[in-house]
Amino acid sequence: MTDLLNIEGLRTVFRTGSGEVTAVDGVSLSVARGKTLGIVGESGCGKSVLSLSLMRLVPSPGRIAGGRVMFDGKDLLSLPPAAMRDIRGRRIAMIFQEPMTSLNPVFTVGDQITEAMRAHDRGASAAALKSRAIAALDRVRIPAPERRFDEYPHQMSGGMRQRVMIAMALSCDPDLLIADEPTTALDVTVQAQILDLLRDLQQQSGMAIILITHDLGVVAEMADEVAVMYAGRVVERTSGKAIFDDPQHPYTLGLLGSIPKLEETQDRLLAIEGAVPPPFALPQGCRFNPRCVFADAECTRIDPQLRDLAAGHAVACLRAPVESIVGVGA
Amino acid sequence: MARHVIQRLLVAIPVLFGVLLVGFLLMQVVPTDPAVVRAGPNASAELVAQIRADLGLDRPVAVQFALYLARLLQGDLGVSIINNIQVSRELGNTIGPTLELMFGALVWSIPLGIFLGTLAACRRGRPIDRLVMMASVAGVSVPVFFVGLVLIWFVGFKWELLPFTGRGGPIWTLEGLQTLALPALTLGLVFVGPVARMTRTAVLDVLGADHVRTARAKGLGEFPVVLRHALRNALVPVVTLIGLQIGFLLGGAVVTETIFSWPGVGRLAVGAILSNDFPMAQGTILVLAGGFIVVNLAVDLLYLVLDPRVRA
Repeated sequence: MTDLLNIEGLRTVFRTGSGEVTAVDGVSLSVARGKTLGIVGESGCGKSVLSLSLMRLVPSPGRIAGGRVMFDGKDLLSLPPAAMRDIRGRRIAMIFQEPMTSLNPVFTVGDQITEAMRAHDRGASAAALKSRAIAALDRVRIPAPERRFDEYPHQMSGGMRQRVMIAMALSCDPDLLIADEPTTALDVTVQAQILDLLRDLQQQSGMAIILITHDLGVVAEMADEVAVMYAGRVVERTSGKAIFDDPQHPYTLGLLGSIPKLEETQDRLLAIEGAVPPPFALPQGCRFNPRCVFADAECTRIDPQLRDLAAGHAVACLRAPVESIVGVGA
Repeated sequence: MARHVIQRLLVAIPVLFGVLLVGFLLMQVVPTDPAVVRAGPNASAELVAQIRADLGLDRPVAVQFALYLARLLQGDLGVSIINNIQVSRELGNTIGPTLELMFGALVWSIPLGIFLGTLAACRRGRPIDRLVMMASVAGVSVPVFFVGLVLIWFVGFKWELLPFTGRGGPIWTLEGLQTLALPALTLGLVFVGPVARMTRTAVLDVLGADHVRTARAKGLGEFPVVLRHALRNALVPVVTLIGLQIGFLLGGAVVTETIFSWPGVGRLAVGAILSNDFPMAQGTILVLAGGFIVVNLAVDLLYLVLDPRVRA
């Protein structure tokens, strides 16, 4: 199966007072139709910048400095602006973390959904657009969509607004949906409903999803493939199952260790010491080495590249596989 | 909605009372004696005293103010101390020209200011942005009378392009438009700068908002993004600020009317204050303060139209 989206060596930099810093540093990923790619990492690891880079919506003073984003055979990075606008919303849609602020407060939700459709279908009549928008609201299981159509975002709950965002994103039947922390701002029960909805909609439409999150629980629920990002790079890439069964990067291990488990009694949760280094102060060698419990002298000198440990399982760690350090059963 | 309007109008009553009181007290400080003015330069001391008694000016200040208020509540604005003309009639004659001047100044300066501010915001940091901001600082810093005098000197006097004194007729006549042009240009010029600055700030603020990112992600072009999503939202604060600024513009109108001999409320106010004609001065103050209140009420109502969150 050919991939719908193929990211090769994507690099996004930001110009700052003290020179350029690299927020996304040579990321290569791919996602196939109908599949979900989860991108996991802490705040500041570059996952949101990565998603905006795919849409070519990196805010100034950021810019994409290199790489290719092959989408359905075309390199998005070399498209003229008008062609890219045509892709946005119609073929690649995006939903964001904050449903509270991601909708324009001064227009009705109906207005905002029809606007998205009109942008890609100039000939459509107002009545046709309205009925399509109501159908879209219905599809994301919003009760009484005809009434909701004329409501303003502030009249809705957070979960409802995120449904509106999804309805808007899916109104043009995109091939790829980029969901940047779609459930982070919602409470847990609503979170489950939204994930459920996304999964159902994916099954109906066969779209691909890139799901960006810091929540491994969400990944477990949704992702076919997972990429773990750290300090602008992918440090581990494998299937959604293997990431839990057979994590290989010490950072992934750390992330998994910080999830509380019900069935085990733990005195305290494992936490990864320290914080993601800022992009302007990256350590020598492996970027994770100052926080890594397994790091040795070599790790402070050599910058590890992604390498395949097994089919479909790549890790950027000099000391992987993990069994070789701590013995089987770690 | 209706309740809101009534509430605002009720609040206006103490405001107007305060304005009248302060105006009245300030008039007491002006050293000119209206009785002397009215009696003329060669009048005897007895005549002046007689006039003073007739006008009630020999009574205590508090009594004068109370009597004035009592008449005002009956709808009587009083008579000019200087020339016996009904204050209400004089106000009726001058309100029209002042409204014309305000309209003439705002009708082009607000759209131009909003346009320039939006342009500057979209081209932030580029030469056009710097140019607009420099021009707007200059516009804010240069006083109205200076702008007026420069325009009179060049456009009116040296090049003889436009008339610069008086009012040739109502705004819908050619003469009226011609005489309105320079005063309206003068008054508007000092307004473009502040409007442009406020718009730039507000648009920049909105351009960074999440919902603008959403609009871009929908595939909208830059034009609809800026116009529908950034400017439309930015108008909410801009309209509020414009409303507040119109109060200051009323002050500018007083100066402009005086320079251009424009027969408006502002010039009437200046004349009345200079001759210590307190019923007339109070009348003009009442009109100007009332105008300010009406503008603010209009802004409030416009706010309801612009921001659905306030309507709830």
